[in-house]
Amino acid sequence: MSSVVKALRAFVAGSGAIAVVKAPPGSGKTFTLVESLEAGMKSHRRIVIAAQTNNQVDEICQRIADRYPERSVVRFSGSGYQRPADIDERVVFIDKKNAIPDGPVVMVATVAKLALSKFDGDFDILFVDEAWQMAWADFLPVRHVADRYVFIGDPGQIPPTVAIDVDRWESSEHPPHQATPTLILENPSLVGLRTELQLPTCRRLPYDSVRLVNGFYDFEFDSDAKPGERFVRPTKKATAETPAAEGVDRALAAMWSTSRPTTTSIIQMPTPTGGLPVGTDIELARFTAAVVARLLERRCEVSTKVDEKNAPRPLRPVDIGVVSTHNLMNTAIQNELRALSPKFASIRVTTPERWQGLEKPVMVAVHPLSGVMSPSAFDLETGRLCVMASRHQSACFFVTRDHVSATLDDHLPLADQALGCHDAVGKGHALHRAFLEYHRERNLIV
Amino acid sequence: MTNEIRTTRRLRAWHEGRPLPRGEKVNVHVGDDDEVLCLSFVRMGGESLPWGVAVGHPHQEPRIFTVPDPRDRDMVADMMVEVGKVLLEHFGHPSFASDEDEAMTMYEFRQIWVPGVSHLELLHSIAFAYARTAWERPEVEVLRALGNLANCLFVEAQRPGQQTVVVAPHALTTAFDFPSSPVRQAHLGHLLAWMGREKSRESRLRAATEAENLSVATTLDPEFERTRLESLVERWNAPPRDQRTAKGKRVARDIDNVVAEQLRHRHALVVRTIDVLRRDTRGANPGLAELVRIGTTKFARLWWDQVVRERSANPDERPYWPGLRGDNNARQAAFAYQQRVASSRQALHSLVHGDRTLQEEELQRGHGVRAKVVAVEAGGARWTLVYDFPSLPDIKVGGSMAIAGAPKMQVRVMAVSNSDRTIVVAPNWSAPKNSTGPLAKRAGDPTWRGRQLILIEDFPVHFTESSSYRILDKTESGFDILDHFRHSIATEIVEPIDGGDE
Amino acid sequence: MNPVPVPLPANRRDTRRRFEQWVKHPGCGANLVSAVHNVKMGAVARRENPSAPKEGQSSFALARGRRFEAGLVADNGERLLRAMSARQMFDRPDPHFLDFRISINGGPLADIDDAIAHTEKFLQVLARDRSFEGVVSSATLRIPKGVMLPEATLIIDALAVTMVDGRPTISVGEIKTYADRGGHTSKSDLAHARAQMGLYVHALALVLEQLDLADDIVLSLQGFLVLTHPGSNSPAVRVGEDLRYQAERARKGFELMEAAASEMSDLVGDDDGEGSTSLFDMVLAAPTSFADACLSFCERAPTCYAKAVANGDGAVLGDDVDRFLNGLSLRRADELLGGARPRNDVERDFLRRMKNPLDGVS
Repeated sequence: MSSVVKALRAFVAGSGAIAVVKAPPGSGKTFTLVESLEAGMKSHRRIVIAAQTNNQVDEICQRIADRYPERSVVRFSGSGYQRPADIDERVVFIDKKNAIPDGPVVMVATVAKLALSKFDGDFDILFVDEAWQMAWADFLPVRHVADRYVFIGDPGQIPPTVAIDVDRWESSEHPPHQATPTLILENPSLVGLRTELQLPTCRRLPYDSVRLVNGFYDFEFDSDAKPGERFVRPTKKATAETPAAEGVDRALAAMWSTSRPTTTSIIQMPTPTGGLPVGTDIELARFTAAVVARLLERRCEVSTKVDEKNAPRPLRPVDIGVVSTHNLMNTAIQNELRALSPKFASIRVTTPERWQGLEKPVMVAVHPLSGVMSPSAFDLETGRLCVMASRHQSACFFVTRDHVSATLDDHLPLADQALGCHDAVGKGHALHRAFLEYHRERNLIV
Repeated sequence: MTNEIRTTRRLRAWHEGRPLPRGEKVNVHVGDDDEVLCLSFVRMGGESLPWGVAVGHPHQEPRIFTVPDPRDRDMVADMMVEVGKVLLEHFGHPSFASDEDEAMTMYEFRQIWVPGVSHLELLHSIAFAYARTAWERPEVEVLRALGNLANCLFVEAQRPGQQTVVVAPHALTTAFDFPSSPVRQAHLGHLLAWMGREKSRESRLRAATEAENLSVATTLDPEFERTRLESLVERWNAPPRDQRTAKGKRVARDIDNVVAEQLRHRHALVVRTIDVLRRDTRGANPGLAELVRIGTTKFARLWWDQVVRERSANPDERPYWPGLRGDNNARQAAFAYQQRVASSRQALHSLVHGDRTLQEEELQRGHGVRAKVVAVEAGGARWTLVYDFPSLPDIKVGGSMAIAGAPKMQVRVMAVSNSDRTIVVAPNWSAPKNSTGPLAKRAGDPTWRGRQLILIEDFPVHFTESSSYRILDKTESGFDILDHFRHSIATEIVEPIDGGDE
Repeated sequence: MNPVPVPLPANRRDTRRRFEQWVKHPGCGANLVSAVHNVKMGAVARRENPSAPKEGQSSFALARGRRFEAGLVADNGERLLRAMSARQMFDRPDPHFLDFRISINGGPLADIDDAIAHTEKFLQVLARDRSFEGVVSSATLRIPKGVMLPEATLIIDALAVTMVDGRPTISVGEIKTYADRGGHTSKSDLAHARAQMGLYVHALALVLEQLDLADDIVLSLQGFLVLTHPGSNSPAVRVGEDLRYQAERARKGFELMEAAASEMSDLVGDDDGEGSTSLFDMVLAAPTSFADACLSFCERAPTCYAKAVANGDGAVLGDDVDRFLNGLSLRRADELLGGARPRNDVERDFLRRMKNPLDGVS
């Protein structure tokens, strides 16, 4: 049992007010949450867990049911919400507040559902999953559900969505649109009330990828994987007949050019001299699909864990995920994949927002700055890049037009944040450059 | 993608050589003349309070107020007392109403129109100068009331969907797509010149470019200021600096003439904007009536209720005036934020069903689908639809959508499959909905099958509204994390207002 | 009214102004020549078109800025120190104050060289004595390298010096008459002020390095702003302004500017107010490129706009239209929208993208 689970169990069983658990990608966030419930059950607590989406809530319910087969778990849902067909039968669905059982209980609900009912300390502890995606203003309506809180999430991921003009609060001491744990950790009055924990080890990513992704975080974490333990390796030689195939071959060669394989690379395609295509870059979508096809054509094998190091398994289409920041690009990639083979229909292609919490052995990612000649604050925000670079178990291939490095070098970012705020754009620019520099130093840009 | 729509529309407008109507309806409410007050400012470069103010109802000669030198805080305050009386009366402040008792009973909808964003920002500066002033001077209570009203107007102007404060160029660009770059479209004179009677694109472009040479912002063109006003101001400041002397009167009148001419120009442009929108044959979006009704309630709560509380003898009824720099109180900030989120959803909900163009924009954003009903099952409790636009909609399972044009006909999203482009939804009605025209059919009616619909994401506004009030709830169980989010005193210190440059 | 201080010497702020001028539109050749050789664009515009509007800010605004700054540093910086102390910027209750303004600006020093010498001497003493805690007004630096001709001189509005763990720590400050309106404070004004502060940090780092003091004096990457309370001349001090990346921006910007300038050969000299003929001709001859950004800073924008309209340059409808046209001229786009047959893939693609994907929805 990890020290964090121990500490969190002690917190749950004790009387501390607030625990904040920083969880790097693939560090066992949900596992830690579910394990720590044991202390609550033993001490007969009433526990409620809030997540951001119905899918997340259902998954947590299932994980609890799996871990505590002797217990039931209450799923508090909207009245029209359909029970998923494959969820454990011990998950009890209720939609009315007065149906919540008395006494010790574990209940799971979306934040939105909890915010609609009036609570006043009905539960002992409120767990908030994916807490860095929750704006402070979204937490406050549910704060009276319990008077002790556990916030657990990944601080490096995409910040809460803000769809309105927030100038009025940008310089406030407690900006309501900021992520809840950030406000809690920055509030000096809470020092004596909060327990700060951090999951120390990333289990998902290969060793070198952890070093790369750690650059997006302001704290250090380790890799569960040993150097060279996880990889993608081609087993078949085949003549490369397209630039994408050549790119994959060169990327694989670069990744295997050292004694221990590296697991990320950037495959570039030329930026047309007459300028980039306007709108969706169909050529890049085709290129991306061809990268996927080439990995399968080379009959790559993957090692996703220590047991597979010496017995890697064949890479299948379903083992590959594709991510790009724009829906139109994702559609184009999907169309290109289908055109290449009907088998590729099983490949998930979507945005970083929808990849959060998910993983695949191999990811193919369209670099978020590809085609962006004048990066905006949105483009330079690194949460999306961090999500893209942290979904893989074996390897991640970025594809991009080859202007990105020069674009970043020539870009002089403005610091137009509100008074007293951090220069997030400047930081994003620096992190984007560091990301490219990491690959350049290792000859991983092909 | 929605940006691309604006780009293509701008190109089409260029091709046509004139502004093109944007949308099927006008999505800005234009009040009646007595409801509308047009407000324009001119300020001296480097100063943040007005040099002059024009205020008046459309189609009436505006009242013009100026001072010889706006760096003199006493003169400016004297002027702003008079401006304040006009504004406060317009908004029904009981102290300035003809019938005080009647004014205490209710707040009625009022609008102000300004020629540009800088005029709105000047309201914020007026709020800073006067809302909390501890100045001991005659009629300081008028200045304070003006400061609070200015701050509330500035805050309300940021609320999505509000119709109380209208920035004229925004109103025009909401209603039309102009053949010029977005940067230029901030200039009201430029926009109105494009709408002029010239025949060709070239002549309209020339007129629009020429119009830009006359500033409509709060500041004057620096060259104009140098050549027309600098020496006058110098003469004014040469002793004796007294408006009662012959020299003082003459110079003050000369300065007034120059500043007033600028103010009248701004005022006239605002009135022309109002006329353009009133003449528009498209008619107003029917959803605007709801936004006006909601806005009246919201502004009454924000401003008028506080005025009433301020006048109350009951010590428990202290007014709550919004902060000048924002909401530093964590509870209030979060509440105001959620209220604004709710307003944003309300604005969309109210307008989108009345205007196809807005529906298209929502589809382009992925917040809806164009889909054909392929199955009506379980007596209408479940529909399956296949969508053909957009390719990857951003709709959530569990969320609500409404049939475009029929906001009460809502469905809950049960499943979405991007791979075969199907969605399964549960309609929320069974019997036909009245007043939905050809759509007035029960959900189980088999003729729905084969029908193409536009479904627009429709987040229930009352959810956000009611959850925002949870933020204000006090606990009876003891611990409230908000008790540990007190704002520091330092940021609330109100500095004495020096005024001028002394 | 107090008398307005007399105008500053011509090169008082030119380094940072010229640098920021270039940054606003690095893609314009004329802008580059103008910034590197200090040929004022307003003067060029008037040479090009005698009726072009005269450059410059409001003279009232300039006077107010000077008066505000002068008021802050008057009486041994009493007002400035009080405002900064109220923000807990100093440990000691009676912070020191040094005034390195030159006489023409109402200060005690003779000229810019004197100010530079005093600043360097101050830094050397600070590193050794570590006894100063307070504010230096108008610390003046000469950037040891750079493309600015004939020299790059920076005057820093205010330096705050504190002792952190026994080491002198300098943070740079910028004084502006911008109204502090919290989150509504103009974002472009703030970006401008921070860009200037980034330049100060970069220049100070170079000077400390040159003076071999980099290990003795800590250069903070957080600056402070002295703004005004709206509607008044009271200073509003904002501390903790994040300059980490703006200093790097300045370093990189000089590098890029130097690289761009080095591509122009045999171009030397400086403008002495109205500029020499050869320099004007050089700016006039340099290629221009109209963009949205030009409207905010360049006096030649109306002329370039007219040229762009005549040339059918899509940028006249905005940078987004320029990108959308993908090399097509507005004139050709007009023809295509009027029914002309597309001649190539670019034109076919243009017409495809112009089509509303929702046309025909019932």
